[in-house]
Amino acid sequence: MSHQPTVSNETEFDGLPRRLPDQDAVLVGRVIGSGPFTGLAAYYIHGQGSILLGQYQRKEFMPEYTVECESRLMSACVREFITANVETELSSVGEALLTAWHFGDLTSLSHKQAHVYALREKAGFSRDETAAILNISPSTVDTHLQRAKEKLTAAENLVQFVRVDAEELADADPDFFEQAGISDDADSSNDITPLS
Amino acid sequence: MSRFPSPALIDRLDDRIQELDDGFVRLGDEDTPFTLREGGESLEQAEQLHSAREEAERKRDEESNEPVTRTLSEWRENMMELDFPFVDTIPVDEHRRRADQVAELAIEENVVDTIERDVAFEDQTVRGKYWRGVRLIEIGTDSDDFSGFRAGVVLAHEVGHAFYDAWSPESGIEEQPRLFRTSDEKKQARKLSERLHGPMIETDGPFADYRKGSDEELAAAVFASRIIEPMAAQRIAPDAVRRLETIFGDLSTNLF
Repeated sequence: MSHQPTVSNETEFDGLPRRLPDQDAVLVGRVIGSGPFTGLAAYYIHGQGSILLGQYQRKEFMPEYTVECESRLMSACVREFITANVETELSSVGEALLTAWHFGDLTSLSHKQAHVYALREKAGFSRDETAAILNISPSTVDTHLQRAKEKLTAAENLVQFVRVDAEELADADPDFFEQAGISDDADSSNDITPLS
Repeated sequence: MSRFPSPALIDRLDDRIQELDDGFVRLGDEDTPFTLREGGESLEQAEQLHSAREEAERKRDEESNEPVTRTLSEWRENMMELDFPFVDTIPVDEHRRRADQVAELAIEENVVDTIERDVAFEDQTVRGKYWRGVRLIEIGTDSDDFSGFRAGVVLAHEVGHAFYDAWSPESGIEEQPRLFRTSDEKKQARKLSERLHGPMIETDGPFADYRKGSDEELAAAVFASRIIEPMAAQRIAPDAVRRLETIFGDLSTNLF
């Protein structure tokens, strides 16, 4: 008799388990619409670093096709899957990973921080579930989340700072410009002298 | 995972398996020691010629792996440079011995925890599986299959998955390179995969046959070939084999 795998209790798309621990697989989506790939489940396989498409039967995912993606990052593979020329639908994890891809692309968050932040803060997965989805320890989740929050807070502060009116700032903190080495003298070294 | 045939090929099975005029049955269009079976009169004649050779020469020829020909006259003229299928090709018992040896090493090196043989898979197409989450290999083969789907090649292939898993980063949140990086390496790896398991399917759409598009599947095929028939692997896929040896060689000094 062959091995009887364990599967996670959480399911999506009418019974596809969110995680298949014995296969290190995480459900990221499925193919919908009409065509030869319709109905296939898409699982990201840790270790392999790829999204495979296939059938789920008897508690096992049977791969048939792969999403060709140079990167092994979960978020990059999801991005590749969703931009393929077929109709696809993302699972809740897939949606969060796509958000992580955008975070990684548009912010200063590292890939690790973007993945953790998107799953924990944006999609609302628990600490342990995030760890299981990303195949890392819960304490690593904490570390990346903490660092992501620090970076985003710093970025938010910077945005607020550049929006503040200079006069308001001078009123609030008269020593600011002096401490920052900024002079309000019209003859400052920033003046441009035309070349003769 | 080793499946026969690739699931996408099921509906094309009749097209891919051909009965040839000389009594051989072939999977796909290429003659390889792994995609041929049976054989007729020419095979019997080749066996007679081979058994008439000196024992030392015969053994030496069987252990090496040269290009395959089914043309008796061509082979007779150049026995040391060519192989006749099932005559001076590596015997399936030797495939199995080599695979068992590498499987034992994988267990010693803690790359694999358990190997279960003679498993009755519910899916009739499956010959072997590697369960990465529990580091278990299951093998369930059929002695009537083409030798690319018999115990030796299948076991070596699954051990290849386990070594890939041991090398590969566990989590998908770190950017890491693929094992095969250049198009030459990938092309060569695909050649070895087709040599062992027959042709891959060309898909009409954005997704590739998992054997063709997956770095790990290709690595498992190159690994199996390197273990079962090292000379042929190095001749056919020098860059892919070198890359695999570099990467997997770091995991165990006794591997190659």
